[in-house]
Amino acid sequence: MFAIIAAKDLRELTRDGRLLWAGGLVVMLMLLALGAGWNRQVQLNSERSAGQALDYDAWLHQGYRHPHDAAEQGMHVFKPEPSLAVFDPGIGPFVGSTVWLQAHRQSEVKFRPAQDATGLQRFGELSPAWLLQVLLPLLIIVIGFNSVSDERERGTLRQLLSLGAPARSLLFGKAAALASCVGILIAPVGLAFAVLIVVHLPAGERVDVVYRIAWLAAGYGLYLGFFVFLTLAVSALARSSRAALVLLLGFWVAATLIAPRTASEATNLLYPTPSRLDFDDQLARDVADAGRKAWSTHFGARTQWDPSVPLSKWGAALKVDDEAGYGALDENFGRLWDTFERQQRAQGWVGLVAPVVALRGFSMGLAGTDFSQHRDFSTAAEAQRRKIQNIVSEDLIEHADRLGNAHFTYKAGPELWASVPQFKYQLPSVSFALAHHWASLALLAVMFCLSVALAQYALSRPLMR
Amino acid sequence: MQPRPLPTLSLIVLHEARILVRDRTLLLVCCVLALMVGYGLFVGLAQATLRDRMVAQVLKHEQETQTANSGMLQSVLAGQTALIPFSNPANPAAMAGTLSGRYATMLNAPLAALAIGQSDMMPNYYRITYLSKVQFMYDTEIENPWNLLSGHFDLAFVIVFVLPLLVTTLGYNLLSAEREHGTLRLLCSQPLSIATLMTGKVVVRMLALLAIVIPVPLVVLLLIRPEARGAEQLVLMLLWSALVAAYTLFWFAVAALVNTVGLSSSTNALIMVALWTILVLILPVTMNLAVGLVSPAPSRTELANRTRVATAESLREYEDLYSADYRYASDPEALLVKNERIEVPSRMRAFFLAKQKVDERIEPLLKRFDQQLLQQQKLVDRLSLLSPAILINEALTSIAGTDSHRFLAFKDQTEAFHQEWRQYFSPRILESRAMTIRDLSSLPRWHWIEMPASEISWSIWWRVILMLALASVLGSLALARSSRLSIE
Amino acid sequence: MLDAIEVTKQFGAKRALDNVSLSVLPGEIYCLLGANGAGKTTLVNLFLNFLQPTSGSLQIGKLDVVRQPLETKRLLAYIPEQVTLYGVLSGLENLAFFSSIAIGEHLPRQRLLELLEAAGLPRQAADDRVATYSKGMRQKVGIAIALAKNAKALLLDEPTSGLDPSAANEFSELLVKASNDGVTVLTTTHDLFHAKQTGTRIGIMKQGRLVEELRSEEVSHADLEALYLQHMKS
Repeated sequence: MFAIIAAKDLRELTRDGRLLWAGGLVVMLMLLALGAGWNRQVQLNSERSAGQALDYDAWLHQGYRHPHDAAEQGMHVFKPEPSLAVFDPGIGPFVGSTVWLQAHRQSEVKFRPAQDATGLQRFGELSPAWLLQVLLPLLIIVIGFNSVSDERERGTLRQLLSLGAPARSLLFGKAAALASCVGILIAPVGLAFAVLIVVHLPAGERVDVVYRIAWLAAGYGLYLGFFVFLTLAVSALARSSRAALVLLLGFWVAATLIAPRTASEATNLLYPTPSRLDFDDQLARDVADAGRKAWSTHFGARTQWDPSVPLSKWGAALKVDDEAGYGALDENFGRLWDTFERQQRAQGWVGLVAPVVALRGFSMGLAGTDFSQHRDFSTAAEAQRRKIQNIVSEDLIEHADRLGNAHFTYKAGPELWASVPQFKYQLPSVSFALAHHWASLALLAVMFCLSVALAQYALSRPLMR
Repeated sequence: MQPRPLPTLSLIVLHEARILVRDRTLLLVCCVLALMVGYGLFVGLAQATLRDRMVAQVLKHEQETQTANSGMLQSVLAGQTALIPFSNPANPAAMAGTLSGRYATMLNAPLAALAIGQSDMMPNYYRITYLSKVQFMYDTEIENPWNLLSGHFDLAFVIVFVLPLLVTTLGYNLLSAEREHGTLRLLCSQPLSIATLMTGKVVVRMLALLAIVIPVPLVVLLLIRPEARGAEQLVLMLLWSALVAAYTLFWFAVAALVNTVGLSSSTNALIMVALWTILVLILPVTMNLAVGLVSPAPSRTELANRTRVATAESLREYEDLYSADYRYASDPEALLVKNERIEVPSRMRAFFLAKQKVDERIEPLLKRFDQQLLQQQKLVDRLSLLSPAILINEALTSIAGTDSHRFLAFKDQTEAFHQEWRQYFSPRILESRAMTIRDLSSLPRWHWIEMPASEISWSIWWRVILMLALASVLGSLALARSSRLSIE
Repeated sequence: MLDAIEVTKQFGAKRALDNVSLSVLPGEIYCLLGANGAGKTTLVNLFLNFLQPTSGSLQIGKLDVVRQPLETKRLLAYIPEQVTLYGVLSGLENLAFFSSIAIGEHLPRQRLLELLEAAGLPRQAADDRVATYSKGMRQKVGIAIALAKNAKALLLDEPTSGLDPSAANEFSELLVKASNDGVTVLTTTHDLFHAKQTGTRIGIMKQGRLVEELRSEEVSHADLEALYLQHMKS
């Protein structure tokens, strides 16, 4: 019975122009987004790995130089693009990808792509994830809003029920038909893309990416399933097709368009983000305080340039100063980043009314383009900077401090440069992402179950009113 | 008998108003709109206040540093203070760098609360020192990237995205409802043309929406932001109103046109939502992609590489200065001002020169970034003809002064000022001239030169006219079709 | 007063009206009989300019319907089978609205009440919302609109279907009264009895053609029925 209903509904849907037009548009956009994303990624990744190699090479071959000046030239490190960023660029356009590791300043990730783009960027990024999150629910609503109400209005529902079709088969048959319409549109493109990505990866990373893809499929399946059952439920509950359409469209607009913005404004009120000025001021104060304390305990001096600290202790002084700053840096940046993460977690609750918020977090998490993974990279880059700084200071203590006022005439050579390891950043594994985002997935599952229950209730009510 | 279109129109308007009030749709839609306008305005005001406060703080900071510097300089000259090379205000290299309290700031435009635009991302102040541009021009405002991605719920969002949806809610069944309900036959058996009927319906709905969306923000702004009361601002407000009205009219014209096809209400709603999705959602993101493809920004990786190369070269070039004997810690007397001259520690001189060199070397590449961005912006200006949503968004942000154009101008002026700052110090550092009290008060000053208002208003008028033309083409098409509509 | 001149109306491949000519004189009540789909309602729609003829022309009081749609509608009142009004307004408000569109001026409340009374609507129902009205009550508001308009011609589409016999009788009386005042009436109906009773002339339509025209006083009721059935069968 279930299969018969599904087959009949599917035939009806495929003969309807709505699926053809809307579906065609979605598939076209999807291909466009994938093509552009793929192109961009290939270019970026080759450019960045080449840049990274070139940069380290230059570091190694910088010749003889005072170590502190070498730290001034510093190192550039580039954030590798996770391979699934093609699918979901996440916060990518709004965070940078390049860090210049220099002495005495916390490495900030710079060059946000959005800065090199026009105001149009703020309308959003055409990515496959955006299509699945925003346009596909609309497609489901557009082709499914009258699947029950129309049968009632035409009287075919009366016919079906009089023939003894159970409401359950009716529901799952219709759901299967709707779901397969969506499946026909995205499954071939999705599969081809997944295979393409996996094939292009080095063997070591394949398993991780396959897991990520599987989890993404589960998340999006729950999300789109939610919309399928919600559409059927509203179609059965509403007085007419028109009412069903208006209700569903209203929900779509509120949930996918208005809720994310409202949520981000609300959490900004709840956990305010500091302005750059406040943040910089606080950081400078904290670093200075920590420095003063360290100076007085180590050297009994109040400032860095106190005459009581001769240049013969410069390396040691530098080390004390840097290490004193680490705490303040960790604390301030930690606080800022915690604020960001807290804001995002608070928005997770909005997922209860607008599943797109939950899905968005989950999707960029699994694609490796969320904030937690960006933070992981920033932390790794900062660790590399401290590594350079520590090596430099140790070397100065060892060699230059003996030279007195001629401190800066000291020049280190290739051995020292080679003792700084190349920056190798390993993207966090899928378990890292899951640990951060399991709650979103659970929320999606709950929403899905709720929508199934609602649809069952809607279709089990006396349908002939 | 003479035709009497106007009285009939006013009859329809009154009648529609009564019907809409009675069945509560209008009330509901207006409440939703009022709520959103209020919230959007609140968000915009909060952001504008935040930026105002930042500029005020920066200026205060500047004032304080200046006072501290001149106090310090006086005591240094009087020989009362122990000398520290990096914080000696008599040392021009220190004044140009760590001691510099100079900021380039850009004040909010008076109508900033109307649209957040790029202001949550682009800085509205830069701290000016002798550092290289790469080191300070790419600082951005701190904001959660997730929130940047979501976008703000500001008034521009309400107008660009939500207003057309509310127009759709009120207008998708302009005629189809009368037809489905059956009243259209009786109406059309009266001496009444469908064009008049439709015009009347649109007028009521449009007046109701505009009566909320236009006066509420303007009155609030006039009340709580005194700087919005100037004549220039009033012209901008007028432009803003015209723009919003034209955009609303455009969407009503679309609704009217869809209704003259003679399909059911459900189909009309589907078509309207499809059009909205294409014009407001799909077209802008596709164009964003297209702009990036047609006119791509130069590679930032390349910039990083060039920066490294330039830094290495300048380190090599000034190697002698960098590694010169450094006796100031043990011999602070060396830093005393003698005959208005001061010994600038050679490492500090090296820093100054090296940064200057780096900027000279990467300048061409940085220019390319700016040119490319300008190129992109030009492309967007042209492409906005294709999507009314882009058109109005650009215009709204430009009225609010939060558009890319203004931030680019700020960046340009900052770069020029940065150049001036360096040039002021360059001879002093090279000739070891000590800073005097008089010098401290004659340091280069920052003046933000606002973009010419006439240029802004011209480009917005042009957009208003374009939008009106678009709306009137669609509207007259709808009216023309309506006379051939079969009532069945 | 109402003239159709060699009117043909084509819907795609289907010919709904085929070269129909018909003329109703002032004061006449012309009843159009015919099965569903014979083209009666199409003819009414053409007179209202709801549809445009494929060929031929229609005139009301010598004015062309297509070329002067608003002028002809001033001469004309139309009462559809289902009089649908604005449910959220009262009967009186509906009448006030439609009559002001029809004649271009606001009638005083007293006059509106008189019109409703003349149409047979109970006085106490006038201020109730139309959503609570029965079909007959709504039709009475429709008649009141026609009365307010003081129309020269009256177009009726199945006016008595769905009315109970006494209401139908009342309605017929109103028609006769109107025609005595010189109003031209064109009505479509399935009801042979009423056609014979009230009509001055009767036309029978079949598959888009006017196949029979006769004066009602010339035939008996039984003859009419026989004639009608004969046309339907062949």
